[in-house]
Amino acid sequence: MAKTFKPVVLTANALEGGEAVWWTGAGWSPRFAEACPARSAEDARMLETLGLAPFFESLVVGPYLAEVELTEQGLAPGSRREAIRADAAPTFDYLVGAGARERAA
Amino acid sequence: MYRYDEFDAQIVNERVAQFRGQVARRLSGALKEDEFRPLRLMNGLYLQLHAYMLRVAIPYGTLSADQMRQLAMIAERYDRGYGHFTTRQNIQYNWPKLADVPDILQHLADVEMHAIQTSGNCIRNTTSDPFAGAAADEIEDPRPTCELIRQWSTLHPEFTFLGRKFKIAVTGAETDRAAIRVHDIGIQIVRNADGEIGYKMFVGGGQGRTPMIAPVIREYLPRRDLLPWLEAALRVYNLHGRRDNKYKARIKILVHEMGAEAYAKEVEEEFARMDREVIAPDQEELDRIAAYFAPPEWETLPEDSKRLEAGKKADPDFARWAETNTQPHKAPGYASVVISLKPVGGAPGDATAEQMRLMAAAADTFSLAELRITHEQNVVLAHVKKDDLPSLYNMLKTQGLHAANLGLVTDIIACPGLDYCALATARSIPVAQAITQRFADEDRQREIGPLAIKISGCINACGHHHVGHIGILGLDKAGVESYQITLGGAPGEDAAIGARTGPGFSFEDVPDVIEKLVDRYLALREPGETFLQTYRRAGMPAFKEAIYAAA
Repeated sequence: MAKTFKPVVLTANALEGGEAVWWTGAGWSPRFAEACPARSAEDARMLETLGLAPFFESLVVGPYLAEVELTEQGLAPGSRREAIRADAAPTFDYLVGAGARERAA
Repeated sequence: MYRYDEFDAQIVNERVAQFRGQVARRLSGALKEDEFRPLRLMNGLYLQLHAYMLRVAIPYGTLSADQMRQLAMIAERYDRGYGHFTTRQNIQYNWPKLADVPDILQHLADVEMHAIQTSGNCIRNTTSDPFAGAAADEIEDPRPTCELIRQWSTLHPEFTFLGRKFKIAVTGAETDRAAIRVHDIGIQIVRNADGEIGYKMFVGGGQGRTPMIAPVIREYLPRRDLLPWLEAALRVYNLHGRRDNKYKARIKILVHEMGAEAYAKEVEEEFARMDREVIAPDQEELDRIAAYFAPPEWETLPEDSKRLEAGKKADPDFARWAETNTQPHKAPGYASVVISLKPVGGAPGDATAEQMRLMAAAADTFSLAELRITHEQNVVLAHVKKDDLPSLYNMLKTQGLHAANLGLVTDIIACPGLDYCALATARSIPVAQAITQRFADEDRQREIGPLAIKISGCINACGHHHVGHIGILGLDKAGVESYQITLGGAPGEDAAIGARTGPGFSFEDVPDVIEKLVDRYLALREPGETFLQTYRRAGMPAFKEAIYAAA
């Protein structure tokens, strides 16, 4: 049985800073909420092809499609891994040292 | 400790300049990621979930106070104010920017450090006993042997592109504090019947998806033959090891498939055939290296310290720490101190820049300006006068580095897991935090006694779960984290791979499961028995029943 299509977003890591980024339809954003989802298999294929475009080589690393949920509140990551990437931080309070929060800001 | 000669310095500085050019070409678009990736990995630079990660080598876990201060400076200037000490006795920075990495590497080179061979299919940082040169029970300080291997294996042309990564560990004592039997090659310094010092060679151990305990391949190897024999052992692996399947490419698979005897025979044939004289270092070179590790002049001190005893009487918290976090030293009146990086609720192995600076200052004041990183993700001050223990404790307290839990249930090894790592399938650190919070009561920890919990966030086993008395392996089951429990693992001279209890547990259930296992142990144990001893005597069914029986 063919796998049921799930909406996907195009994501990667930024070349310079390494942070997770998402394709918004007009550029790459570090904010997951701005991602532009593909709602059909055909759109997903186009998104995948776009991710491999040579001109992105100098902007991002390792583009791939990640499943998302479309909810009334907006996009939600489709897995724990993608949720952690979308939060741009570990799930625990890792900035334990004095001044660490300011440096991370 | 070892100081760079002109060759070491040249290699490291030239590599920084070379990588600076490679980074510039990558950022300009002249290099594509496929071309750049192997180059950055050769310099310890990974790309993880949120950022690049730089893994810095700490040769055999030993570093100077000045080097520790430089690590602190880098954490502060280029990262988010902390670093993560690993089970490979290295440090990882979790947030560097690509353009900054050449500068970071230059700062490392300035204090004789680097990130070369901390990734890739090459011989990695040789690891060792964190109490090397201090342990009361060692035959010989293993670090000159480690340093010899470091020099031989650095940029070794024949072994730069092995089938898979390759890890060597060395211990100088019968009690194995370096987990040598779960390394690709484990080396134990031994004496033969004539009292000469040489090596017992274990080959083909490892963890990962196929854990194995290394068999002995050579009972006794004369000291001078070490490098030629290693070269023969690696050459046979390079020739026959599988390159078609990365999951079967480690030397443990080769030794297992060939059989230890057949593998040993081929190594000995190669060893007999090769020009050993070209490779074997002369005595002068061995002496030169050994001189860097010559023991200091110990002060003549009584074995027992009145100040220590007075301090223990005055402060029960200090007494608990002094009993738990010190190890016997070969010189009377001294002790080796373990600074725990495992506070309750903390991230195992993480230290802030401020903590690194304090540990460096403590090393300067109390321990000959030198520190060790342990494969259990703690820090050792190897040579502390017992008289100084109260002052050291008070100093550590100012930065929360005084957890009195060495070897206890809260002294947990954990890999970075899914909170950072691109390979991980589940979180590790939050599991460790939840367990330490459950067992926060220090009296309860001491009542439980020695218990090593080790947590990996994927099957690659960076958190050493296979050799945990209780091992926890985080997996992904259809998008949900699931944790397998293993029991009875051990990393030392009684090395064993833990056995799975059965089906996995949810993230939320893990602390309850661990508590049930501990409660069952407490109910079953005979006087003086540790968790591991009770498990070995009572067996799996007794423990299994505790965690799977219907409530």
